[in-house]
Amino acid sequence: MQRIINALARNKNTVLFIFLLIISIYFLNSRSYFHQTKIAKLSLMISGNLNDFGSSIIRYSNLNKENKILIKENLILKSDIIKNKHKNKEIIKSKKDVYFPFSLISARIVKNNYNKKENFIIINKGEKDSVKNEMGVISSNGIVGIINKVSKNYSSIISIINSNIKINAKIKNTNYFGSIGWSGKKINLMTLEDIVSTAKISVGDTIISGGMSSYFPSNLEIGKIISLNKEQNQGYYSIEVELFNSPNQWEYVYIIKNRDITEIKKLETKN
Amino acid sequence: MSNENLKISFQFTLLILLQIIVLDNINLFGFLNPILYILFIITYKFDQNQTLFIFFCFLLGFIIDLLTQSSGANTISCLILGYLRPLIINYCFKINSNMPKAYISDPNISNRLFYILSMVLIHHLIYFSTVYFDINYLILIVKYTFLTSIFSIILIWTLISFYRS
Repeated sequence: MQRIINALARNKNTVLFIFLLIISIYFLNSRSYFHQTKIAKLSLMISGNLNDFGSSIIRYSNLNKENKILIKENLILKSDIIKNKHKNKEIIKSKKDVYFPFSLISARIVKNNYNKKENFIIINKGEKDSVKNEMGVISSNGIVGIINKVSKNYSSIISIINSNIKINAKIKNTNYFGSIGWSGKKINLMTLEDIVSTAKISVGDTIISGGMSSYFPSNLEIGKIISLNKEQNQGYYSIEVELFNSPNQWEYVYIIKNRDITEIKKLETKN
Repeated sequence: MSNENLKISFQFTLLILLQIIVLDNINLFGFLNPILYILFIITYKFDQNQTLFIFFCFLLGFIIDLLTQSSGANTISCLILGYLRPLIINYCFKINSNMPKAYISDPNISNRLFYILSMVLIHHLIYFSTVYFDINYLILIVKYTFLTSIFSIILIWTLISFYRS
């Protein structure tokens, strides 16, 4: 016994090192999945405040460019309003109502990671603004990600360019559904899987959201096909998709609130 | 002695803040962020308590990981670097390795440069290997390690020469 204690005391640096290494590996393991822990919440709050301070300084230099994007987006929104107004007239005439359970909350990105394998984004809206876990987030032209942690004033998003996330997608004007995920090679390059090789598609086709999830409404534009390969003997295409909005250009985003989410969740758990 | 402790904790906090607020937002060429906080591990006095030092390295990486929302890559790389440091010091400075501040007082410039070079390269290699953790990304890991190391070394060398003068 004495010997063991002596040996431990002599090698106390190594023992401490191995002990701390095990802790850090455990730490790494537990953080690869998005479990909402208290420590993560606390660190989110601190880093949110810190990065808010940092980005508020940096943001000034981008104001000009940002304004241009906002003006462009406003233009699209306005044209949508006009279109909808026109549609509404017809709906009133036909006395039918179109049910649409989604509504938007706008937010600003405080910290945007896009140079890692698992990227997260922090935005400046939280519990106070009725943001909840597992809400979808979109940008002016594309999908940004899904919320995974919420603190009082901030929330964290699993970015679409995170290898842990896959999103239901569809090729525009067809009925081919697949799932889109990040390949990790280039910042704005995604891969689309599960499209059968008999599908009639070509380079340049637009990819839109499929609507088979409670996070995103259907027909949101995501990107366009830049290359497709028929894998031998597999029956599926391997498709590379370029995002319309490069992730490093995101600044203002919209959180999608689904009014029916509790109802859908209830059904899912019943099964 | 308490003055020395105060200096260490001040350096510790300053490096963390600098890394998170400024350096993590540089994104040179879209992906390069120089890693400066290992300056703490490089410049910690050579003759101090090694056990405490390993714990400091762990704490440094842990705080950086928490504040940047990353997984445990910084913790692991800092911890291993801290543990390996005595070996690297012996290898780089040879007879001068018992000087407490050989990284500035060693008369031979190639020794000093080699010390910083090996510390930064080892740290970055472990860091990027932990982040990607896949043999298929080997080329990417090596590429990121070298490109980021260049900028980290320039930054660290400049700061140390500044301190020296």
